[in-house]
Amino acid sequence: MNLKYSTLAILSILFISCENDLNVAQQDAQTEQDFLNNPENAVQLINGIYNKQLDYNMYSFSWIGITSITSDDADKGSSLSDTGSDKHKMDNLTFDAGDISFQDVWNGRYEGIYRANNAIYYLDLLAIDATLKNRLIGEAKFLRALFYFDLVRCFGGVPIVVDKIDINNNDLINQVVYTRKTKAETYAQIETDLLDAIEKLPVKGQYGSQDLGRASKGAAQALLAKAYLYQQKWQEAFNLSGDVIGSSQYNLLPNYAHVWREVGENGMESIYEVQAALTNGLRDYTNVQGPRGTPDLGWGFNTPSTILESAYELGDVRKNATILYRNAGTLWDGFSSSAGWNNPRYNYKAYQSQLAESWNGDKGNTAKNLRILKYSDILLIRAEAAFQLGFTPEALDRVNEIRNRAGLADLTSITLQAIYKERRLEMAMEHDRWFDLVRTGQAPSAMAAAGKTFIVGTHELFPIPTTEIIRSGNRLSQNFGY
Amino acid sequence: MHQMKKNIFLLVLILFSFNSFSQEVKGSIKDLNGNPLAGVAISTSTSNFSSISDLEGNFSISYTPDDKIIFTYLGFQTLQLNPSTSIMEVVMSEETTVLSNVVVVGYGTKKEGAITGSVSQIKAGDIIKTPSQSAIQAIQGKAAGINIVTNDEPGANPSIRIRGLGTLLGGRDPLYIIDGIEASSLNGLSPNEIATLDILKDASSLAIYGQKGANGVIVVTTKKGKGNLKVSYDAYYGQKFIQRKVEMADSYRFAYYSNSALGSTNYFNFDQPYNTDWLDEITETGEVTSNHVSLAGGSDNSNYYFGVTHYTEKGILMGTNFERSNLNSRNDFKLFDNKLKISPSINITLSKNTPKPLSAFTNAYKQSPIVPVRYDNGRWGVPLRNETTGLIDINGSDRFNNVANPVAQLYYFNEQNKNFTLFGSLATELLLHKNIKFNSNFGAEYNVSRGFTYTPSREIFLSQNPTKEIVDYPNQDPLNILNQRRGSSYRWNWDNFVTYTKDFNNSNLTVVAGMSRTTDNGSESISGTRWNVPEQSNYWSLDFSTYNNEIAPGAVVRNSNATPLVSIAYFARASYAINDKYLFDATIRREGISSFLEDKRWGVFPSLSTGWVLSKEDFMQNIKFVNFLKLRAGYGEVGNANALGTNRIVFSSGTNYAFGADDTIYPGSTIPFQIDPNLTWETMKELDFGLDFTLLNNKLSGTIDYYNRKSENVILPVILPSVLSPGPVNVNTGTVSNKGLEVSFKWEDKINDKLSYWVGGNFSHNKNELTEAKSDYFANYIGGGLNNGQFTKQVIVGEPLGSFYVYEVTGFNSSGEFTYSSERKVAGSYIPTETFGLSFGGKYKNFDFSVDTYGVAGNKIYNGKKAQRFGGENIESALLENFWIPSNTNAANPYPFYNVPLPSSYYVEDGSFLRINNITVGYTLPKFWNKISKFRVYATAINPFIFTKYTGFSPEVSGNNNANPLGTAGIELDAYPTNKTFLIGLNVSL
Repeated sequence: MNLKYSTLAILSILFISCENDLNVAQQDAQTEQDFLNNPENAVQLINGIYNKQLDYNMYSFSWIGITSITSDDADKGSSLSDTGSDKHKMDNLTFDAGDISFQDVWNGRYEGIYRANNAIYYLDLLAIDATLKNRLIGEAKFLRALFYFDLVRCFGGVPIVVDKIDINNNDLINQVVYTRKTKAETYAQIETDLLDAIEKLPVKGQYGSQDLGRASKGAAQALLAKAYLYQQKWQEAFNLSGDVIGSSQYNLLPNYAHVWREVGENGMESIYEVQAALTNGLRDYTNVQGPRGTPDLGWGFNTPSTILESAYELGDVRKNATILYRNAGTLWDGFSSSAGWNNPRYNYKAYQSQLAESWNGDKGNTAKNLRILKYSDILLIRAEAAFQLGFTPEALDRVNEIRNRAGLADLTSITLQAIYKERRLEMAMEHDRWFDLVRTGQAPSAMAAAGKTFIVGTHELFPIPTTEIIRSGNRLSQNFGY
Repeated sequence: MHQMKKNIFLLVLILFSFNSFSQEVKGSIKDLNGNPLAGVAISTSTSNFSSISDLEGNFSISYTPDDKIIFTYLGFQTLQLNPSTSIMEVVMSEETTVLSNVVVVGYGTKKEGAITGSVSQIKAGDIIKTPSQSAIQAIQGKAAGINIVTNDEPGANPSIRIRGLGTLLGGRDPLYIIDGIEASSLNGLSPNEIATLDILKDASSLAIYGQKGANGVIVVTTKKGKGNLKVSYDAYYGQKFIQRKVEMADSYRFAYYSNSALGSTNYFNFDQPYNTDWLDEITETGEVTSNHVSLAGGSDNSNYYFGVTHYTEKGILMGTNFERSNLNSRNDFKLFDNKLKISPSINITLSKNTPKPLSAFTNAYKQSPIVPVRYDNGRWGVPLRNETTGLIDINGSDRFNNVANPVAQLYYFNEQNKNFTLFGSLATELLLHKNIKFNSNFGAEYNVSRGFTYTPSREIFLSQNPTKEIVDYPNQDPLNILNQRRGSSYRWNWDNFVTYTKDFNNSNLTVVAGMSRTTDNGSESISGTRWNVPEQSNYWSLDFSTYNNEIAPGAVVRNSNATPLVSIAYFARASYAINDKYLFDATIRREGISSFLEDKRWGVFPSLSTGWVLSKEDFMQNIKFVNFLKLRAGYGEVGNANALGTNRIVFSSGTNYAFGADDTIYPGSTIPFQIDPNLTWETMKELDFGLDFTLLNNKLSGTIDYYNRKSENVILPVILPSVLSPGPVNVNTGTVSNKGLEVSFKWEDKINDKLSYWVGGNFSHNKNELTEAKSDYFANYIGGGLNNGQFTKQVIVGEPLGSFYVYEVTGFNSSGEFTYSSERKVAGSYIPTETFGLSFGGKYKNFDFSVDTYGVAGNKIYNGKKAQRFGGENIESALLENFWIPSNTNAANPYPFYNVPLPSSYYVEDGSFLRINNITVGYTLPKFWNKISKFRVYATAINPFIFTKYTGFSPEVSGNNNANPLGTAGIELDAYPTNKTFLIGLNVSL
């Protein structure tokens, strides 16, 4: 009798526990369901894509290495003994597919594309105002196009992923993620995204002041103009750059030196820039390029070359706004240029003032905005496209507009070389030189002049990172010569 | 809960309702020397009476006519006697063989002879012989199939791997069961308090513990108080030294190597003013002290144990300190004629840790010897070179490397962490019926921590810019930064089970059934950061901070909270033995865990094992040299979901972005990683055949096991293409097989009363192989990244998991650079194929001594720190011993270079080693005062010698990220030297 009761009693204790206990409320992050219950999260998803641009593998050491140190505008810099792991190979054009810089640049862009694809996917599931939704999709597509534009310039045709993909769908992954599309297909995707973004985005002036820094219609047009330029679609580049100029949203700043200083951030010359703030800084952009030695302002990489230095005409104000000289008295903000620095020249555009600009004491996370698209770039795209189409007066006018601001006299006639030169000096150390040399076919001669060997047929593109090829089960093809 | 109260009430009622019809017998119990034995458990064989002997060894117990009286006492042979009508004079003898030991199995105990699984037992004597902060450290090399990786950082725990290293996902630590209660570590327990450690190794023993047992189970039985109050005191003091140093280049060699690599003759002047040995500068002699006092005793109905331990350690890295105090209290109470046993325990641990960054060791490895610790004017040394003279120069402009001054780094690093851990448990055992008992074990652990990190930013600036003064420090920069944090974590477990035992004519049956529920909340923490606090820490609580700028949410105060993991399991076991000769055991466990998605949560894990005690067969009775011989066979399946977070798509906040002219920060979110919705249990299936034997008058005992272990659906975090998932995704990757042989033996002999000795050894051979890659991601997985773009491992079916896959060096080119094979090749694995230990010891008169050794073979190590360079760092002296020059083209080393080298066979080294773990000599003083029953002094050397071909600091490299086999396991990236320790100590018992 007793035994029976007690056994029953014990059995009931044993099985009291409820299997629902296994449904534990998530505490370390928001669940998908909770996230989707709040439509205001839509904006957060888009902010999350912008945020990617601050990461190390976006515009820091690796990007600086493959876009600038490779070119004739800059040398590796730093100490002779500090290779920066592969930066000496970038400088000497002896890089290979195993170098970490290519992995970083590849992964950074694809992580950005991942965020954009996810944002677009979830925007559809959120019940928000249609106008806002349109704008947000426009922003996501602009950013996605920007990431693909970097990829196509570096690697040529790449895998085009524009959807959220089920990680267990092997067939789709083999087709989409592990198969390179052609360069033309990649550009076509960029154009599709940008054309849609142009439709959906407001012009810069239509954004409220609290939204300053978001991708605008002008930004999408400017990027599309640039994408056309790279494809030598002169008429389209001409038209689009004309649209930006005609939008009356932008103008040149009177002082060239202000373009890269805090005073010029989001100014009238700015079309699109990465927004960095004191507590949400741009990762290691200033740090990589800051003067090395005592006082220690950085690692001292990517130093302007003597070839660049000697390319400036006498009186060109851009020279002293681009090149920071060692032991050369007082800098613009009152800081003394030190004799205790390693290198004779540094990139002044990357300089972050500790005295006269927002400064948080952390050179690895600075508040300096990174300029991606600016009005002067558009003027030069317009000039180059106009020249190619035979509209030389337009080309001459646009180039002279640039020269006047630089304190130089008007040219009386225009050549393609003159446009290229103006572009080089106006955009020096701004990560376009290498791509411009390749795009215009000047690379072999320019590299030879810089004492480097440019292998025609190979160096036009960088190698696909070895790790990605292995990860794809060798489905991704390598570029020729690597 | 309401329901439960009612049930307990019912149970209590039942207790008072048993009938009894019995007689009583009285007697006394003594040992062979005639000393009374107190605390002997006395029970009856068929009825359910029990009793305990008192301080004089006297006892009385009721019995029924069919009963035999059973006497049980830890460390003594169990006796079964017929009750006599007169006073019983019982003499118990100490165990001469381990076979009558009680071994703990899942939710119960068995006599060792009746075990059907693979279990190793280690006894107190073997543990306290090796003074050590953790008992785990002390069992290294003492049991087959157990691999322990020591960690000499003050306060750190060694990691333990049971059978087949490198097969399972993170959290590879075993489960600890202390007196029936689950615990996450042995930290709260002083090694002095452990009576036995049972290590459950094979799947048939582990299956009943479910996923928590996937990495093996270590069952700890603590010492129990009995009889008169017994006081013991154990103490030791020791000094620690670096076991092995890697000789670095001196100033001349550094200059020579660097100049050669840079193609210069005078980049560095060969005649430098300083020649710093950085490792010497950052290390000092470490010290350990331990004091342990315990009070123990007991009576018929209760016993008590109270212990206090204080441990302090000064690490070999300058400034590291660790201090820990343990308070332990354990009791057993017996109520209602011993029908109810309640065992509460409380364990309080207080610790204080002053850590220093271990990266100082790596910086000491990398910093150039030409840099002084301090210049003559007292400023900290920095790697600045005078471009004209090539000399180190405080005013130099060439910062030739990016390595910190490790002495300054330690000087300015100011961190402290304090921890308070409370572990409490309550185990109850209720005898419901002579055949049925009910156990309910509850254990909970609560941990609170507090700590701070103080960073004197201005001083650090001055240390890095030796020509700058205070006025040069930017006004707007913080003078100092203070981060303060508070955190807590908890975990609880509640097991309830019923045991039914029934003896038949010549067989017996035990059935256990129950359930287990666990909640584990990893951590909750809040931290705050302030600038410009007073330098004096006693004023930190005052609001003197001068920094009041607006900061984005999350930058000043941060709160984080882990998602708790919950598991629920139902289990059952049936054991059946015929004549103690034919043994059968079957278990089953059904378990659900909150880690997986709802339809993937539950798994069922069965096991079956059997044993045949050959020595009890008639045909064996004439074979006199065999005392005991048993064959075992077992099969089991164990689920593993250890250390997994919740498998859910999550949106993480914090990917914020600034918009607007005033840089207002707006919240952003992203999905940091995707999940595989199909993720489910990793299952380890194992077949184990074993042989246990005792031969030659119980002098030689041993065990042989063959196992074939297959881990299916092994869960590993896999890196996907960024566009699919930026963060790693946990995937069921494939199947890993571990096959092996384990042999252990012990020879014990007593030559005469003065001299006895023993020799023990164990050997295991293990073959690890990835037999199937189920996921495409895994099949193309690369790992072992060195953070410089190079990787050293790749998944290859048919090879051990985590094998090195690197280029083979084929020779030199005309400039002394390596030439390589065109394809990568498999270059061995970090998983040893052989592990072995040999111990011996003895006693002569009052002296005792013992030596333990431990070794592994067949493993490779990647000397990663040597391969990972940016240029301008120091190099190992040996690189200049025999390097390529045009007249020496068969050299061992290449011509000096500053490139990131390809991962190659050059860096893969033989990781085999043999280490003398422990040498102890002790002397027990003859009785000099009758109040003191034992007084022993001893001297011990821990890890005094190691024999290995490996050229790095330590051949024991566990790697980060929980020793993920495809991570940095087996790659020495940091230069952390292991220690050797010399101790003197004493044991006193009153």
